[in-house]
Amino acid sequence: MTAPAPAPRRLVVAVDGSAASLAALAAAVAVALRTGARVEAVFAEDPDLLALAGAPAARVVAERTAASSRVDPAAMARAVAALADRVGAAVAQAAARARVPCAHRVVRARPAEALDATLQADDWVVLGRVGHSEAFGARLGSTASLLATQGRHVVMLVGRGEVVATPVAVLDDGSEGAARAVAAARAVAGADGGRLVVLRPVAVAVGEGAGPVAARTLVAALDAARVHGARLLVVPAGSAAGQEDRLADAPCAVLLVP
Amino acid sequence: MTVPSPLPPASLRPRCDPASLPFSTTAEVAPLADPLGQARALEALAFGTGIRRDGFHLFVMGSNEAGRRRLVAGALAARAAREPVPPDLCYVRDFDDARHPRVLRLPAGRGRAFQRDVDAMLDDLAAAIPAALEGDEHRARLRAVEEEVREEHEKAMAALREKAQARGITLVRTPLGFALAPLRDGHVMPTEVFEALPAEDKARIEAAIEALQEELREIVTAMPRLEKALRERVRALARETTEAAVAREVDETAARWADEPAAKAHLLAVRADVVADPSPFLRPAESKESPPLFEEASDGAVPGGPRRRYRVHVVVDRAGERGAPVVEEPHPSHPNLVGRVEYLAKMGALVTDFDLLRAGALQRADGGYLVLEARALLTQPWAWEALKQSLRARCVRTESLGQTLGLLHTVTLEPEAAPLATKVVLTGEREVFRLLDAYDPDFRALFKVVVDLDEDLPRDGDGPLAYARFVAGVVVEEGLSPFDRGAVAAVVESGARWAGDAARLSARTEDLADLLREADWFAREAGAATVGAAHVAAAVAARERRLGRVRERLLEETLSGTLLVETTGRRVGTVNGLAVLDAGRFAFGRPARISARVRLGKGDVVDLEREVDLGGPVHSKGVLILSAFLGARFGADGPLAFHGTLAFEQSYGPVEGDSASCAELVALLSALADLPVRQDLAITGSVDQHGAVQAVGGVSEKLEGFFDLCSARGLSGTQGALLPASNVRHLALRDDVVEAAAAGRFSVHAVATVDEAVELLTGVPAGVRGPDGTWTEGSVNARVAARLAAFEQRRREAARDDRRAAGKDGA
Repeated sequence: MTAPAPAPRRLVVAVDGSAASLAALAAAVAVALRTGARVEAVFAEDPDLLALAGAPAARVVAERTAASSRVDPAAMARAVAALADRVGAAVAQAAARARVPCAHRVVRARPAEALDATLQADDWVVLGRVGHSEAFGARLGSTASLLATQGRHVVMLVGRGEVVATPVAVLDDGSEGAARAVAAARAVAGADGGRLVVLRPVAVAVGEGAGPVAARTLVAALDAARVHGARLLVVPAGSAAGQEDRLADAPCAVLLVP
Repeated sequence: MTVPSPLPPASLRPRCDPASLPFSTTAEVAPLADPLGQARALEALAFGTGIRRDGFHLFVMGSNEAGRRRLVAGALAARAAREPVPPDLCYVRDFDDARHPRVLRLPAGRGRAFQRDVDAMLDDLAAAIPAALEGDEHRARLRAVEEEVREEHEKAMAALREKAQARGITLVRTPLGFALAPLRDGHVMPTEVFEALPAEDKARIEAAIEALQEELREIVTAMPRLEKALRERVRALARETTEAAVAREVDETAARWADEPAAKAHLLAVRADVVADPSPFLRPAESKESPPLFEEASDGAVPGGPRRRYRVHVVVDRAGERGAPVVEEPHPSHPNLVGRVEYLAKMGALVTDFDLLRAGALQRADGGYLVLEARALLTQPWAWEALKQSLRARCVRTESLGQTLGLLHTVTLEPEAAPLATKVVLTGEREVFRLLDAYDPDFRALFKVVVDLDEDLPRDGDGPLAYARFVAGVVVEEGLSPFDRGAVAAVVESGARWAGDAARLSARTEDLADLLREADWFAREAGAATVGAAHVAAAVAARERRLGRVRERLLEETLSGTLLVETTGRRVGTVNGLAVLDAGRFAFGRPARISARVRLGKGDVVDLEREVDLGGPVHSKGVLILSAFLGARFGADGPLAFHGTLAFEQSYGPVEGDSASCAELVALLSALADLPVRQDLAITGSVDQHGAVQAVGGVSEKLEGFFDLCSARGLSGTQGALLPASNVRHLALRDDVVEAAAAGRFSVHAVATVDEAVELLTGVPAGVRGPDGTWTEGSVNARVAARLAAFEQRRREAARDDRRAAGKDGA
């Protein structure tokens, strides 16, 4: 795998209309402002939703009124299109407000597939920590989990209501990706580089395996980010490998750098 | 009948002998403590200000405004200084109803202290409340509550999802809501696959979805309840956190104000309001949206911003005051009396709040005295009504005229009425008093104490000494040079002249003080260390000279012959009357030619002034009285067959008063008797139906007017003037007149009857009626009677001629 550039040229944002995905859009714009990258928002028209609408036994229960009805495929198509439009409007508004070049594309595919089709090697991908599955108690969405696990791209996970800004904390644990993580953190911190907090583990207990050490390091980094009031924690992807679930408890947005 | 002799010079101007004054200069005299000659008024003031009963407000009346104000101010200042300082008046917001700010009264000077304490407390709250609500502890508790509620919901959804998956059903969130659909190999079952299923499988799937759908609906239905419960818990948590933060600060302040129940009550109200809604202490983004119009009056313009709702607005601050307030409001408009509610323009709208309340004179005078000039008050729209309402209700309600008249339809403040315990002192002219007393029933009920200022004081006894003490007071107060006893005597004589009565002295202290200032100026100009009689005389003369332009012009016109007034010789039916002209600050006398003509007629006397509407009612009455006199004296046995006309010659303006009626009667008698009247004499006085001559006003000025004319033409020694005997005590003639009289060059005669006057003026005895009804032969009255008899004879002849002529015509 090619090492990613310390500063992104393009930020691909997965936007599904959920609160976290809109926070991810705002975060992408904020990073773009600091790094000069452009933003490309991707809205996935999930074919499963359209298929579900066509299912003969399918039922839908409205979230606010609890009214139940059979699913009308045409209504579902219109609702998805309307959601895509709303996302497009949000992207345009964010672009205009920040004066950042933003594109918006709608891809008919499952979210992960839509991102996969869009992403290029040096792209950073920005997405909500959890999307619509939050309603069922999920802390880390399936797409976020997949991308974090894959480790192919720089991935930024943003929670509902989180804003990316300084101070930026970065975990420099001496791992293979640590240098790239620090470089990425500096890129994001931008002119406020002075507000970059570098977190270095002070000791490693002898006799412990790599897994427990990495877990303790990640947990310590999350705690340190909370203490420092960091608005973004940059972590080498390798340091979070296998512990993606812990990222659900991050006090701020997390940038995983492979 | 004895013709009255000329009055002795001593009667013309009663002197004030400097030697009778027991001092050399006023430096040795103790200044007068009380206002000059106002013992009665001071007694009334003491009573009116002392009595504390409803309606016992005062009306101080007198002709001189400055004198009234000086008297009232002095009396009230002395009394108010002995009385306690009333409390401060503050307003605070009524947290239950912002439109009705509440009154808060605190001991004098403590209003500002309370305001400062509350401001400091608000500053502390502004730090403590955000710290508490934005602190880690509160946030953690908040998050825990939110998590708890959310987890409850999510758990239910997750469980339902698991249950659905166990039955081969997927539960997903879609833009239309939560959807349930059958699964096949991890994906939604295609339609054709579902249709290919056996009927019982399809029924089972549909039943499963139906059941799950019901459970889903229950969960979704419960969501608003959970959210509501969450909001309530969040609020309760915020209230609990705020309560802890607020209680500490408020209780500490309240402890310092434990001795002031009203202040403590306000603090507790603040505490309850802040706990209920701490948003004014939070960052703007977290504040509530669009508060009512009052509340947002001018956060930018008024210190305190959103926290202003808790501030204390000190409307009347009595810090540093001593004694009860004495407030004089020179411009007693409605808002200046009852206070006003100010507005600020904000975003094109006018907004207000309780801290834009402004006190009026009534609030400022609460617990003390309010002095108002009646005329100024009555000329201000609704001010008089507002004052009466406040006095009746014993409270002041601050509202705009628009509110009072029901013309204001926008939302505005209606502050709680402030208690009122003030004593109102109205000052004004007697005419104003009489009008109010006659036409406003409330006036008598509210202003029960009348303070009637004396215009003069008795000259006998201590009068001159009181004048000396008054002079001494002005000298000290204004830094004038001391007045020697001669100067004081001159001032006393001027006072007598202004009083229009030799036996009294003027109490118009402002005029007197002006004379003292002017005399002091002349003394300083002359380099004198003390003011002497000559300086007083110079001041009097200079004043008359300054104001004497009209007098001089009239005298010039008379001397040049443009105005015809003879001062020598005799003339039938023409008498020199005496008039007074008031040229504003200066009155002077001038002679006026009064003429009478008679002819055959029906016994009527025509007043030519009245005929052309120049004669006033009193003047006309005088003419009717003299007609009645003539009728009674000469027409008892038959009609008076004459027609008389009376005129003020060369008079082109209104004529009023009856002081010329005696001159008019003499002119008529002269015309009827065909006897010439001396033109070197002038006369003033009114006459009654019996021929008695009655007192009139301005005799000194009138006599001086004729003297000036005679003097200008050269005094002949026979010239003089007649005045009613009852006016002699009013004489206070100028020195030059008195000197001429003493030298026998000018005479002043006092007459009691018209017969005395006519005898003096014609040089012919008036005559007395004998038992047979005839008059002394050759007398004026005999001549008049003969002329009237001749007229009657002529009238009869004319009537007979008329009847004959009529008989011939008839034949």
